[in-house]
Amino acid sequence: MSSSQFALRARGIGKQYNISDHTSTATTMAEAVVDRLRGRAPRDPKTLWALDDVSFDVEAGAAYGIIGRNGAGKSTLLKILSRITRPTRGEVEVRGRVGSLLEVGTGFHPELTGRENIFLNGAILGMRRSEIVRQFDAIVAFAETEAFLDVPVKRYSSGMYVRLAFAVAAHLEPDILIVDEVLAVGDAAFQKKCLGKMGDVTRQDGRTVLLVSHNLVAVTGLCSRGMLLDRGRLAAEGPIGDVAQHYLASLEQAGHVDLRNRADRSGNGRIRFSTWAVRGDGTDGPVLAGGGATISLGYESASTEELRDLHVSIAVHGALDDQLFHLSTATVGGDYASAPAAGTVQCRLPRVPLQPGRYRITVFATVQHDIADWVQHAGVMEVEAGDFFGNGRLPPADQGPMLVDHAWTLNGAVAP
Amino acid sequence: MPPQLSTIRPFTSRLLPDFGELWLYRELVWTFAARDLRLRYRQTVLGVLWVVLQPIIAAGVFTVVFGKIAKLDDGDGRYFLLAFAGYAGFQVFQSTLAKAGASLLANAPVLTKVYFPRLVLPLSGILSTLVDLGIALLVFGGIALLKGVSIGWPVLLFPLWVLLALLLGLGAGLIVAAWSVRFRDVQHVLPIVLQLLVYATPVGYATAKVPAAFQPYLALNPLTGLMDGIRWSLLGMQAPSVGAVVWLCIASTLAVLAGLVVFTRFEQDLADVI
Repeated sequence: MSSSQFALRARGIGKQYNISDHTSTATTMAEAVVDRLRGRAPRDPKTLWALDDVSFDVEAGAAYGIIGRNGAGKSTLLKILSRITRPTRGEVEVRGRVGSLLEVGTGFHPELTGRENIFLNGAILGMRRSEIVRQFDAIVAFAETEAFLDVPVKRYSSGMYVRLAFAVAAHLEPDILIVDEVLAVGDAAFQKKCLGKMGDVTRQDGRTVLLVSHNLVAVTGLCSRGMLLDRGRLAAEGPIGDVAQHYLASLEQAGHVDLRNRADRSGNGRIRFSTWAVRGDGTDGPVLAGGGATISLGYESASTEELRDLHVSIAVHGALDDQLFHLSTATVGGDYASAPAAGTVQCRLPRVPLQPGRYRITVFATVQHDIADWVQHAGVMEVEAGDFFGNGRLPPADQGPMLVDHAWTLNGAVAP
Repeated sequence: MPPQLSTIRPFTSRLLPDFGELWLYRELVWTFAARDLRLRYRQTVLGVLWVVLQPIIAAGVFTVVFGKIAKLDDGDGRYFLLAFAGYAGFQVFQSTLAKAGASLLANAPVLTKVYFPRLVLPLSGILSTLVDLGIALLVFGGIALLKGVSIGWPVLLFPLWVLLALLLGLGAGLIVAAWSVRFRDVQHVLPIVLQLLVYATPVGYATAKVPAAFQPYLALNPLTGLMDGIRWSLLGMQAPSVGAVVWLCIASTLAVLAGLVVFTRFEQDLADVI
C-alpha cells in the first residue's frame, strides 16, 4: 500500500443546525397546518454552524486523533463521517467500509440474552452474520462473560454489560473504524485492554482508526496525527504531539476565572458555577507543594429556591490531561442535604500532594442527583516548589506528578 | 479487492431509496425482525396464545354486533368466518402501517448512533405481521374445515391480496414514520383514523349488504376491493369487480411510491430532527 493513499479526504465540510426553540417552528401537524392556512412565512429560524470549512486527509492505516473542548464540533464531525447526518456543505471521499462506535452497546436490549445481543449489536454495527459467527468465541472470551451468555443482559452488572458491549465493537473489522469517547467507560484494566486492541487494529491489520477523546493520554498514545477543533473550525492539524500542545496552550490562555461566560458546559443548569479561585495559605500566597491550599467555587442559580441534595466534586488533571485525583463531597464530609440558591463552596487541601507544575481543574455538581453543571477545565492551578516531606527535598520532576507520604526501613529498622 | 470508494455529500435530490445499498443490509432487516418477534413472545404471559385469541375475539365481536344485532347474518353459518377473514386481511394492512409508522421513533437511540439505510426499520416489521397472519390462517383453516367450507382455486390468488395489503400498509406507514418524527401529534391521531377506517371498510360486514346509496363511497376505499378479494379467495364468496381490483392495485402502487419518496427525502436529515 503506498503511503500516500488516503482513507478519508474531507474538503470544506460544514454543518449548520437549526437551533430555534419550539416556539418558532411548528412541532405538531396542527401547528404546521394552521401556519400554512394563515400564510405565515416560516418563522425566522436561528442557525448555528457546528462545523465550518473543515478539510483534512487521513492516510490509510493511520490512527488519527480528534481533540477539542465540549461543543467544538467533534461529535458532529464523527456523525458526518459515519453517515448518521449529512454535511450542509463540502464533501468527504471515503475509501473502504466504515464502522462507527459512537456509543457502546448501541441497540442492546435488556430483555435479550448476552448471546442474542451479540448478534443484534454486531448486525447494527454493520457486521455480517457469518462474521459474527466466526468471531463469536473471541468476543465472548474478550468480554469474560462466558458464564452469562444465556442470561438476559438486564441481570448483568454494569461492568459486565460494558465489557460485552465493547467486546462486540472491538471485533468489528471495517476498513475505517470511528471511535468516540467510549474508552471513558469500564474499569482501568479493561480500558487498557481496549486500547491495546485498538493499537493492534492499526499496527497489525492496517486499518484506519479515528479516535475522539478527552483523554489526551489515550489519543497521543495511539495516534500519530490529529486535529484540534475549536468552535467548529480547524484550529490545528498535523503530528499529534503538536496538536496536543496547541490544545493545552489554548486551555491555559483562556484563564477561566469567571465561569459565567463558559458555553462549553453540560448539565441541566439548576446551578451554574460562576467563579473559580485557588489560593495557598497566607496572604495572596502561591500554592506550594506540601502547603495548604483552598479551592473556592462560587455558584448561582436562576431561582431563589433552596437547593436539595447538592453534590460538588473537583477533578485534578495533569500535563497530558490525565486525571490525577478526585475531590468530592460524596467521599469526604457528605453531600449537602440543603443549600442556599447561591453561595461559595470551598475545598481545603491541607497538604497539596503535587509536584511543581500546572494542573487543570474540572468542576462538577449535581442537585437532587441530576447533573446540574459540569465545566471541564474550569481553571488552572499553579503549584510552586515547597517542602512536602519536611526536609526541603522533592523527587526529580520526571518521576510523576504526585507526592505521596512514605517511610523506609532496612531489615526492620528505621534509618538513623 | 480494493476498498470501495464512496463520497459523503450534502442533501441529494434523489427520489427513491438506494435499493442496491438496501440489499447489502438485508441481514439487518432480518435481525430487527427476529428481535421484535423474540421480544413480543418473551414479554407477554399469553405469548403465542394472544396472537390466536386476538382475531377470534375480534371476529366474535363483529359477528355479534353486525351479524346478530344489525341482523346482517344470512343464517348460512358462515358469518364468523366472513368476519374472521375480513379482520385477518385488515390486520395485514393495519399492522404493517402501525409497525412501520412507529419504527423510527421506537428506535431513535440507534438512529442517532449508527448508520444503516433507514428503510431497514419499517421493512423489518413486515415479518411479524406475516407470522401473525400465518397463525390466523391456521385457526381459520381449522374452523373452515369444521364448518365444511370447500376451498377452490381462488385461494391461489390469496398471496396477491396479502401483497397488496402489505404495499398499501407500508406506503402509508412510511409517511406516518417520517411525519411522526417531525410532528408529535401524528402518533396520537393515527389510532383514531385507523379506528374509523375499520368501520368505513367492510371488515365486519359483507360489501353486498351495504345499501346502494353508500356503495359509490365504499368503492372509493381501496380496502373494499381487498376485503372482497380475500373473501373470494378464502370463502368462495362473490368475486370483486375488475374495477375494484384495478383500483386496489393502483392505490397500493401509488401508496408505496409516495411512501418511498416522502421517506427518502426525510431520511437525510432524520438524525438532526429526531
